[in-house]
Amino acid sequence: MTRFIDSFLRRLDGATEANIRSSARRNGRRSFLARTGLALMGAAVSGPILPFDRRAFASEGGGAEDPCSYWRHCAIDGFLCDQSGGSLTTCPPGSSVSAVSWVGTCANPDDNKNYLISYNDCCGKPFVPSAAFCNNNQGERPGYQMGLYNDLNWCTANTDKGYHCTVSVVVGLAD
Amino acid sequence: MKRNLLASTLLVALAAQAQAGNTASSPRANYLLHCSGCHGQEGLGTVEGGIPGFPDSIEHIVGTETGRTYVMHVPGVVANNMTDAQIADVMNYILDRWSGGGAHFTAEEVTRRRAIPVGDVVAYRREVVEELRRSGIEIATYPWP
Repeated sequence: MTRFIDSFLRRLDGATEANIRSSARRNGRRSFLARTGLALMGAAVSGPILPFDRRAFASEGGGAEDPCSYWRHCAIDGFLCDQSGGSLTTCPPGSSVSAVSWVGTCANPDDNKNYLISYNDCCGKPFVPSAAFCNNNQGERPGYQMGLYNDLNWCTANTDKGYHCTVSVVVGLAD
Repeated sequence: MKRNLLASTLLVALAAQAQAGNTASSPRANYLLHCSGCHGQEGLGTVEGGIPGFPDSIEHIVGTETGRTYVMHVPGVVANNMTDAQIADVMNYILDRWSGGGAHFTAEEVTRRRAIPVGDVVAYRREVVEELRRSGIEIATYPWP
């Protein structure tokens, strides 16, 4: 596993370096600044700056056009159970809730308080391809900071290890 | 089975928490944020997942020198970003709730014990288990080889 990660990071480093060098050969710094300035000015002149409320529908489960934008899903990484035959907080029939979970903190836009949310996976059935897949992961960090890493199957601690979907359960106030 | 154990070992190492900063300040909230993902809200752990429970166990572990150092090196303590004072508070919350009077930790003790190199924490736990067993005390099931 470590060798795979090392090899992947080495390749990523190499590709990034090659791209940057190639870009540096092609483009001068002055031309970049000129083009960026022009683009910013153009955007400021032509693009209307409209006020809008990002919180619209955020406190209503499933009410938004994007179901992943519901506030309790701020750190979710998975298929929504309420679109897989279950609900926001309960696993669909025939699946079992994961014994371990990812716990995150999300701000409720209605009262501006932070809540602790447990993202439990539901296990033992295949996922539903038509269900929305949300990959918000607020607060997550890459695998080198293991305690903050969420990109895995929390069904591993269950007898049925197949991943089905994820619920977002409020477990307390982050006071 | 071996693969499951390996995967579960990784899982233990991930004592779940999502927020990069410590948004929570109370020991209860920090327990929920940093520990409950694996140990559960009731501190029972999961045998299938290889997470030891606290009841009838933690009070005996913190009753020995080796045990007190051990709990400062479990994955949930090693892999979080709390301060040593916050770790002491959370540990004392666990002791108050599940140990029936285990001796509290101070921030200084946390700092001192975290600085002690223990190497393989699974092997280190076996030493704790053996020491307690010699006194006739059995602690929570722990499946790691």
